[in-house]
Amino acid sequence: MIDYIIKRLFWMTFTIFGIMVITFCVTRLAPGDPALLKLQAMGQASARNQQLSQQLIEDTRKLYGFDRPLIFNLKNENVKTNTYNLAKDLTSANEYTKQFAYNQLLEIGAAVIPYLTQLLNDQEFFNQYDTLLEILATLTAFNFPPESATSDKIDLWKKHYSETSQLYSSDYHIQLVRKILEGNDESKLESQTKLLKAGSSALDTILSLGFKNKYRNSADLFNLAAQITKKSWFIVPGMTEKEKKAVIRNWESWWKNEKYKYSFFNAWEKFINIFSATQFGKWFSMVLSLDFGESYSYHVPVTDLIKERLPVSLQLSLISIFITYIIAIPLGVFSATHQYTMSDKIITVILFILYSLPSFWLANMLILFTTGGDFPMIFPSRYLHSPGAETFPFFKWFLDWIWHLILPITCLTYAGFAYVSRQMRVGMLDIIRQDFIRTARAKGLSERSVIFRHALRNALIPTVTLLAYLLPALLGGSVIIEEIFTIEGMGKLSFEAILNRDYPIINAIAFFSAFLTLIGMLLTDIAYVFVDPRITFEK
Amino acid sequence: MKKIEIFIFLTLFFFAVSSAITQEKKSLRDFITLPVTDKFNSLVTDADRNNPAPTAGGQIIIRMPLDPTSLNPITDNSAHTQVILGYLFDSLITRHSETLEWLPWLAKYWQERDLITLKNGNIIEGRIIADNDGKITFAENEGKLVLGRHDIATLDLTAGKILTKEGNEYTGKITLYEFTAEIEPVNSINSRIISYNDIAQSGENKKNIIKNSVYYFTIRDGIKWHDGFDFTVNDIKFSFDTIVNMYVDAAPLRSYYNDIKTVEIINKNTVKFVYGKSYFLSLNLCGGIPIFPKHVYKPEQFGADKEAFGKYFNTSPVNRNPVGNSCYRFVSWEKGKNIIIEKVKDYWASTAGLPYWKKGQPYLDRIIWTIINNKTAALKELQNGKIDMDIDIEPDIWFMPQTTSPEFTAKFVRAYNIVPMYSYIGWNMDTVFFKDVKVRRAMSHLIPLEKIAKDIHYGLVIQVTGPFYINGPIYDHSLKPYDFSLAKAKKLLREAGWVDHDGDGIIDKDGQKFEFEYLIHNGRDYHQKIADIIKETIERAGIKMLIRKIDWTIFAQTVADRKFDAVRFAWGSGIDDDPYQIWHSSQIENRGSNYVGYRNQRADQILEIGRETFDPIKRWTLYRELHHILYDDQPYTFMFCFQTLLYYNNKFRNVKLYSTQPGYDLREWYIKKPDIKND
Repeated sequence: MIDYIIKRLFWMTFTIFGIMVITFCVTRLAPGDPALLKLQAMGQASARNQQLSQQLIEDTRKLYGFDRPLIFNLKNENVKTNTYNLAKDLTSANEYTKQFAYNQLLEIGAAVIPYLTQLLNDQEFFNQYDTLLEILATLTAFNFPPESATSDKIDLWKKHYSETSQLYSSDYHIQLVRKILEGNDESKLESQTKLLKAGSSALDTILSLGFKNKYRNSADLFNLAAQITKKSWFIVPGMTEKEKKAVIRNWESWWKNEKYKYSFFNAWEKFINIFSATQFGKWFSMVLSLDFGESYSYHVPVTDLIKERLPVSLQLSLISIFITYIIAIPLGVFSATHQYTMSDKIITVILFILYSLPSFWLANMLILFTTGGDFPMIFPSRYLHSPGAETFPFFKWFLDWIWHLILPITCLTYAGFAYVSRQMRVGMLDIIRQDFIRTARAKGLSERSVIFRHALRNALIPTVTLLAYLLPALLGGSVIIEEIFTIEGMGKLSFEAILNRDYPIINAIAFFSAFLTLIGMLLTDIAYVFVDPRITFEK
Repeated sequence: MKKIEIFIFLTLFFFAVSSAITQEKKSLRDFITLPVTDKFNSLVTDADRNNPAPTAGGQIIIRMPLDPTSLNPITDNSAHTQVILGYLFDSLITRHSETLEWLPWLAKYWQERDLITLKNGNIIEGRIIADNDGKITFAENEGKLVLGRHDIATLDLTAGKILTKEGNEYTGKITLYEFTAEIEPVNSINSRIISYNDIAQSGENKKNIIKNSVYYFTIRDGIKWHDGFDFTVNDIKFSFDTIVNMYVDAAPLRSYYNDIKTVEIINKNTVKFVYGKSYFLSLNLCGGIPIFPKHVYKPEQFGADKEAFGKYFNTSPVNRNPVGNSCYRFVSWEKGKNIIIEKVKDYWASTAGLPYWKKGQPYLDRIIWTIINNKTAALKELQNGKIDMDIDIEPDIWFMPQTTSPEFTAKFVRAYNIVPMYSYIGWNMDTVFFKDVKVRRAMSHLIPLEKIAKDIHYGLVIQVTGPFYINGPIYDHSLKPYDFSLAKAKKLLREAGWVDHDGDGIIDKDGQKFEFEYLIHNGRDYHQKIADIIKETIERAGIKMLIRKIDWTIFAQTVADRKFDAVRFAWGSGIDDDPYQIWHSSQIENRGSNYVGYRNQRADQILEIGRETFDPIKRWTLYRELHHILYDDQPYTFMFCFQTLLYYNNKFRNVKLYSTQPGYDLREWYIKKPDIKND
């Protein structure tokens, strides 16, 4: 059996991967994306500056990470190409793009200086020379004499750059960092000042050597990085090991996303980036680490949302499934054993009538006629607990809970009666006609023993199949019933997430549903072996 | 007659230079239809209305159909959240719902100034007193002051002097409104004369003069946040910085506030907003900026790390526990169940002597929003007395016997209010069909609006003839809707050259059959029903219409990309909005809002001038001309504006329904004494 289980689990991983790929494709192919929908919800068809809004959709997209390519990233981004692209944006007709590119170049800092300087030779950027020089001057606090012509400024800059070019060379940075790691306090201070002057061009060296020397005296390096990038992840004396590790982790994850703005990648990193610097890469890494991020609409970690809502749906699902089976199985057996009698016919008609009633209609009817207003108030119309129920003594709380459950559970179970009991009936009828039942009767066993000890066990086998879907059903919940009775459960969560294109939630629910379905199938298959002795693990 | 009087007065006003002539401006009230107090409550007699004795106490429970995702003032866009936050947070200025005046609120008074950039690079701010013969008379470092009339101790109109209760004296040209007074600086020995030659160019033929682009707000003392901390100008600057932080999930709001170039703190009580251009809505925006407490979010802990602060702000637990500064404070939010807010003691407005805030307001001790998704369940809860008010009622419930029975109307008031929103059919003027105005007018004669209003909308809508709010200051009621007339339509089509030349039952022109696509989305089923009615009527004129229905998530994009022949859509608007984005010819490209491709020189002119016209009456007169132009050109067939339906328990008094969103102000409502119970 263990071999079987291991083999199944092995194949499961491929199935889950396939399901994640399909979910990803479907969410991306579906029209509308969260950034756009958020803007639409706000605007509500009001005319505010659409063109600007378009750029702000891009803003929100960047926030959600949608500016990355979908599956393969063949762009080979690095500091040189990124700087070039930003410089190109400076020529854009769109005011906002221009402003954004300008701010980005300033924000990235000294790392862009060598590449902007190169662009001063490029005819393509002729109209932008002044802007580029402005940026270069701001970054280095270099002053051009006022009223000087562009060509003069370029010459002045090139001269200044060639004089200070050592500041931007990575060999120099390595030397300085080494001094910080090993040197005495004096040379440390000097090196730190020089590195601060080199700014973000030295960031690559600082951080990579910092990561390499994690366990040694690298706090200074990270603090230097924090000063350069104006981030707040400092390592201060008195921090515990755990806190230090958290700071370093912050740097690692930040650097992973931002490295392309400041430096180059080696061949291996380039290869990995083709797959990881993509939307799918992000999506899949969420699954691998089981960290599904934060919901776009709630701004709360997805796992928190699921933790909140799951118990609610679980109550409803477990109880309704339990009741369905408790009632349906005996009904099925009764129908089978009393075939062709009046009671069987009556039961069949009633069950089919129930089955054909849509649950949302019945729910609304029940609310209309039993929850008060013009009619007597028999049941409450919403929630699972009365307001203030936390203060009730246990027994009262329990009764209050049952009272609230009656209507939703009714709506969830009645359709199942017909379905499950018919399954049972067919299964039973099949078995009862078999030879071994005739033998049992011939042996002189009581009818009761024949039905319940011999026939039922075999008839249950098809019903066991249905249990495979038990696990994922627990997670799903019923959207309609939750909506009608204002119950905050998983069904509503997943439905609203789909409407709002809230990808983190969709991702998490798709993954868990897939996982639980597969586990459910595995458990069912194992259960078969125990229920039916004819089935074994060997082929 | 009266209009001519106003016009003459205004002309004099504009050209009077040194003599401080002041006149009592006609109140802006006359331009809009005013709400009636307790209009729908049959229990309220006229005697009651004239002698209201508001009693404090009691609570109101309102149904909310959806649980908000958060109570953050800027990242959550939904209308419901904004309503709740409106009772928790105050703004610098507030708009009076009946006179449309901007009133001092957190700001005691404010000043509006102009900016002039000189050729030598200096930028000077002040107020333009006169502009003629190539010279500007400029009052440097002065501006138009607006303050509340209740703050005036002595007023000398002829000499143009005001002495405030605080002891400040102001001289200038005084204009009085119902609640506010404006003082414009006048020519004095300190005025500067600036020649046009000294002013820098801004584009061709324009000088770099930006009017009404600098706003100084002076805030009151003694305002506190609900947790006891003082409200200061730092909160205002912090709020602005947060809105424009690109890592904060507030892109839609940011699009409005990106027009502000800088926000500066001048001193302990004064903050300054600088705009880069002249726009009549600037005051609305900077005066209405959402303000939230800096000391609660503590941005200092993030230093200059905007990204980290942005992330923190988006997800902060404060978003589920807001700290405000208005007359109600947040008490609790049980997710999925209810949100409770409670009246605050010692609210600053009770002692500020404001004539537009009555003593004792707000009267209700508590407001509770309770979440009920299902409308039938909501009706039950109303009948059980568990909720007191339900809004946005659907027509099918509105006409149900349960809600029209005598038992129901004995306890609840059925009320309705027109909201500033209208639906239309847009005719794409770049198609061969709709580029001719005669064809568009013919189409307007072919849409059976009365039938649609009765059959589809249950008679709960009102036909409109233009894009402005029907009860607002601009709408011209003398323009009647195009009547449904097959004869008129056929005549116009014939004149435009559309006749059935080949006898196939479909009219054509130059070989092109009149077969067009009508675009709708699947969000609401009545769109399909309306389309079916229109299709059937249009066919009688020999036009074939194909209905194209697409998913609502891509609908807005498809319309913005102008991929339609005709589209049924709707615009929401305020009562005093800027129509530029919808009608100016520059807004056709780049997915602008001018979806139908409307190009009209005079309209463009009106839109450009209107944006920079700060006098509301002048601006509204201009836009009224636009209403006439659009009525003649019919780029849209304007359909309906909608009524919002609500019911509330008739124990509430002083209920007024306004044209400004959300349409009602719970701070005015009170419960008649014997009916108050607190539970």
